[in-house]
Amino acid sequence: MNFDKYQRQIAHKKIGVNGQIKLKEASVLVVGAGGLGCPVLTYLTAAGVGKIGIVDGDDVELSNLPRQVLYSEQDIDKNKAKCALRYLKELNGDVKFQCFPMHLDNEFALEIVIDYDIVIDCTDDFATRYILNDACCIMGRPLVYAAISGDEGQVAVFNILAKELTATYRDLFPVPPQNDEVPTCEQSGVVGVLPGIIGLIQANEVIKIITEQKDVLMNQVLIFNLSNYQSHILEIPRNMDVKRPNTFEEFKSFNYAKFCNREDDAVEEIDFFNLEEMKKESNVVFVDVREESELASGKLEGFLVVPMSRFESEMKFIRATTKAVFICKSGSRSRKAAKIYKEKYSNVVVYSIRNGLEEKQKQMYH
Amino acid sequence: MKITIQAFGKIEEIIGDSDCTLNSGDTVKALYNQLAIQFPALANMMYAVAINNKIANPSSEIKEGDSIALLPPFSGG
Repeated sequence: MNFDKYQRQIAHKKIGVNGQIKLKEASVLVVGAGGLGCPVLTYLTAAGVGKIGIVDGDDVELSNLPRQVLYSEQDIDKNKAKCALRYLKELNGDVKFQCFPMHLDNEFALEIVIDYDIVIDCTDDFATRYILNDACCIMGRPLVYAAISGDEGQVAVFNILAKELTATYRDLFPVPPQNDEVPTCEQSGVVGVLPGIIGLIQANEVIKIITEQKDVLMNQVLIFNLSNYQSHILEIPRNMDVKRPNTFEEFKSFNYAKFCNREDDAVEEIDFFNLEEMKKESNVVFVDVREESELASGKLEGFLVVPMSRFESEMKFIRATTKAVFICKSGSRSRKAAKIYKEKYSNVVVYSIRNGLEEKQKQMYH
Repeated sequence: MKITIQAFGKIEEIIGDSDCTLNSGDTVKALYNQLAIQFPALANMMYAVAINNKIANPSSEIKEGDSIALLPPFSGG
């Protein structure tokens, strides 16, 4: 190890030579290379963590750039995990990287998590958060969690082995919220510095765990407010009544999409590859509910564009008689659109493309 | 008894600096019900309640002078 490179960290009394060696021997899995993932990845790479796994199935979008500072305009429409890897390799050649350009699901989560000492939750959806929490509980890995909303961020260290096992995400939120109840960054907006600050608190917790420092945020959740700089720490007692999948089998067969209210009985979800089949049928209307600003990379052939922001006033133009198929980027808005359409035109059978256009990308990786 | 509430995230936008009136000995469940009446937008929302900076369960009792915090899950990353 090049001690000169890490001299400032080694000189710090809480790190020292031993701490720097611990960092080099550690492995961390960063799930999500977005607003939180970018600072987490950058600083843990620079700090000399030995092995870092990067998981993200999304492509870089223009609207990501003000907060996802690892990416440039040249990276648009390229996979985030791959773009991040290219930059991070240059930042610190001492670090070994593993790149997973895919969305983490419960089929692969355990196999990936087992190879890492610490898992870092930088995701932006509830299904993946519950998958990560449960995978970490089953595999006995600490989970360094963060999430943001508006001007606030939450940070916590879950499931770490202290004298006894500590609180998990499910002790704080046993069940996920209803669909659309919690605004996304897309809807409520976010200033780039917030995930920057919160991601760095997350990275700091990871360094504290690896170098065995005191005062790790376990059995606690920190809430930080960007506008007035107030922070609050709430204690999380373990909740013995909380249920979750406990075995490999239970975990793999658990329907996280349904658990997180991402499935609606009135709307049938179909896979992207079923589209070709449906295109052969007559009387099927195909509707893309993405916003016009998202269509820069091209419109979908055969799809009518009715942006979600104007859906209720413009859905009359859809004129479906028997079947209507809805698509968006991730499958969330299309499900909502299909439901709204069904409520108004109950004789039409509605479909939503599961995971939207992201499903198309995912198939390219498997 | 009147209790002061500190709210986070979207809940703060809904209730602002509001107070809430409860009977002494009421539980967290009663607080959820009371808030749902006072602020219908909260009726179908999921959030954690902390009493004196400690996450509570629905059967926890709220006493005069307790400080209450309401924390919704955040989704952004």
